[in-house]
Amino acid sequence: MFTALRTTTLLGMLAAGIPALVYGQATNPVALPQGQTSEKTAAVQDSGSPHPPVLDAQHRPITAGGFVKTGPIVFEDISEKAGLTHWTHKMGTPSKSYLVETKGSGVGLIDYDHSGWLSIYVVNGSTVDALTGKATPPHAALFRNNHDGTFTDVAAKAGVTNDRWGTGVAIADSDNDGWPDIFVSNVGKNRLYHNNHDGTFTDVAEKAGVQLGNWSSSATWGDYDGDGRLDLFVAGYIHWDWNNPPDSRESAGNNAFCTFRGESVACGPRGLKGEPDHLFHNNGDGTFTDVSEKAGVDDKPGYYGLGAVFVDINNDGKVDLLVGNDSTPNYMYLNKGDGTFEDVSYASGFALNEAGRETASMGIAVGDYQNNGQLAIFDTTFSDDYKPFYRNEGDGNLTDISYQLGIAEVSVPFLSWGDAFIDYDNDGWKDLLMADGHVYPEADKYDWGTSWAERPMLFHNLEGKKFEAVPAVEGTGLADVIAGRGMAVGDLFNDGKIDAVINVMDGHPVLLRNVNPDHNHWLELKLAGGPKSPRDAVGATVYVTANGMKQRGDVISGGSYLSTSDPRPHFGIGQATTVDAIEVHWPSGKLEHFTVAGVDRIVTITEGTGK
Amino acid sequence: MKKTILLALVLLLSCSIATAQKSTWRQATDAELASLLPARASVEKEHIETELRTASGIVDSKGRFIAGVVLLTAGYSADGKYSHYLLVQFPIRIGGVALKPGEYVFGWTLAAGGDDLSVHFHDAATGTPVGNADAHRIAGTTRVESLHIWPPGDKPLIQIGRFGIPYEMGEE
Repeated sequence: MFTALRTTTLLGMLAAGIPALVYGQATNPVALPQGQTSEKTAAVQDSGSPHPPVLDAQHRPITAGGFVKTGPIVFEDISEKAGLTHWTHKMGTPSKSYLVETKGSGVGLIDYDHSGWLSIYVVNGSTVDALTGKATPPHAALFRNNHDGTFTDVAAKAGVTNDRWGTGVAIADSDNDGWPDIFVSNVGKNRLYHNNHDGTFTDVAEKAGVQLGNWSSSATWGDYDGDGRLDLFVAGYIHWDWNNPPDSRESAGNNAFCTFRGESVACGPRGLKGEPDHLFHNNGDGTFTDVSEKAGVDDKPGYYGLGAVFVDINNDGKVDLLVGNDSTPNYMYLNKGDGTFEDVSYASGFALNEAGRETASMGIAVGDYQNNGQLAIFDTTFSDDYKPFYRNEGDGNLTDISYQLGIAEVSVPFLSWGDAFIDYDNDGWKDLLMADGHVYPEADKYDWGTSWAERPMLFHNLEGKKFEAVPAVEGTGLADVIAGRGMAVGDLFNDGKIDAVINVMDGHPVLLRNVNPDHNHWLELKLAGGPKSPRDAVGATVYVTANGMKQRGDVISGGSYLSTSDPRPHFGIGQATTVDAIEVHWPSGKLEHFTVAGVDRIVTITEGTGK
Repeated sequence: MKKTILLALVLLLSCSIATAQKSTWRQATDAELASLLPARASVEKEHIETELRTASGIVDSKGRFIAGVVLLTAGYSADGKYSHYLLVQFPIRIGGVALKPGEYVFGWTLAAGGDDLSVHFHDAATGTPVGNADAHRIAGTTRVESLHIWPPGDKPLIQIGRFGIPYEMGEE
């Protein structure tokens, strides 16, 4: 039975540029229908049941192996020489007996000092000892960009150490003063760090009314009501009671919600009470009002929210809201333009994967991978499950085409988190990057075909028709085997190449510098909104025409997993040396056209100065 | 001549059955499904939690149900090979698989190209295979459902995700 399965997957891996693999004996073999022919068996791609482990030639799970000695070098891990390795993320204990210890934290990219260079904010977790005052709390890091390839942690000086059980970060100019602020979500009270314009921040969350107090996860900024001020959505995960936590892995007995493949693991999320989501309307006076229920996004069922992003998914000029839920249906809310949203989760196809199964959604990436003006959605999920890729058919109708694109099968053994569409080779087609790592340390103990630490995955976009896994060349960033969680992408060195920063569970952050040896041209746009738009233009959509293609970029705060990427839309334009047209759809509703002289540059575009 | 008469009789019978189906079966309500379906389904030697919000079913005028619900196999109960529990209180033929009244479970595999699911039905108590049926991608843009058993008078279809298997009611 497995001969055919091996052949199919082997061919898939070979097509994906991954070297020869061998398969271990499945602990729980896939059960195929009786009487199925070998030909039909060969056609099977997914069964919803435990998959046979995929091992590399050294008998490592493919998630921690499968390296090649030579091949294209896309990312160099420069974490150490950049100065990021002196700081360590910490979340609970290594045994990860409780779910709260497993989910990790996010990364935010921010030009907090108006230097024109992105710095890196890395959220930290905490420990029970720190929460109870028995130990110094782990602190978040603000790695200031020194403009020379190195970074210096200035979190303490800047006043953004958080010192709570940190989860996510969403960065935007919340008060339209021209300086980016930092929202930090926590298991506990959240922070809203207001930028003081002098390299320091002040936590104004309490006054703003956005503290909440239980398990907040991803957050996203967006002007949902078109009043020119950014509103804040905060996804809720589990209602966590530190004084009365659920069973630990060790005390759970035979609770089905505390097992994976028959082995005891941290309990949840199933069986635990969900924490509701919150939408905060920006009142424009430093305070916010919780309008979740009125707006129709209050998550009455208490689904386990992990990913969130405001973005215009149906091209009507208003930001819509996507929420990725763990082990429960995802939400897609379309903005009705009257301060409320329509829940089209099921009708759109986003709630479930194409076979109707709820997924353990973690991160959400949005991007126009076909250059047709429609934003696709990529959703990272658990191991033993493929990662859905929802093509946007227009008007918010989605079709999960992960298998057709060549992403699904390869992604099955991985447990994936942060994700983003990036054009890593500046060929004009948006590629796909994701950070991976398991929640269960037991993954290294049992023959599950996956691992606690996993390598990131990069898929090259073949002109909008297929995606091809980029091989993990030994010694490069794609061969880093890490417990990845949150991930942000952006041009950290202002060289037109998109880099990535991954927050690693209980480890140091990993900075993957893009060193792809292409000589393609590029353009990046820093947008400044006018009086009727958010000042940082979050929610704007840009179309750039060059090299015979019209590409779309969006200004987004949030998305991925617990993270915020570079706010500057980036466009690879291949061998083109001119840009034919730039079209900006501002959040105010204004449409303007701009021109730029030359390429390979970062250009600031201000609302009201175009045609 | 005999063949013509026979064909006419078959057509008449089919119409009668179709009319009967249309008139007697309706979509079951959430409350009916909640009282009918188990919170934990007995599957082989296990009791697997069910996800009631995914329940769907039909009921006839005599209170007989065809109803199903998603099984929570995240912990890989029963090796995760079943995705749904199905309660049958009236004979039904699903994509060629005849099911007598009883309790069943089914799972599926996605075929290459992603246009079909191969759905395998089993007796819930023993896990004994009952048969396989193909679910095909439903044409056009369709609301994706965990499970939707459509009433026969509407469209005799069992929908899983964006895939559907036609069914027909049997005889008592």
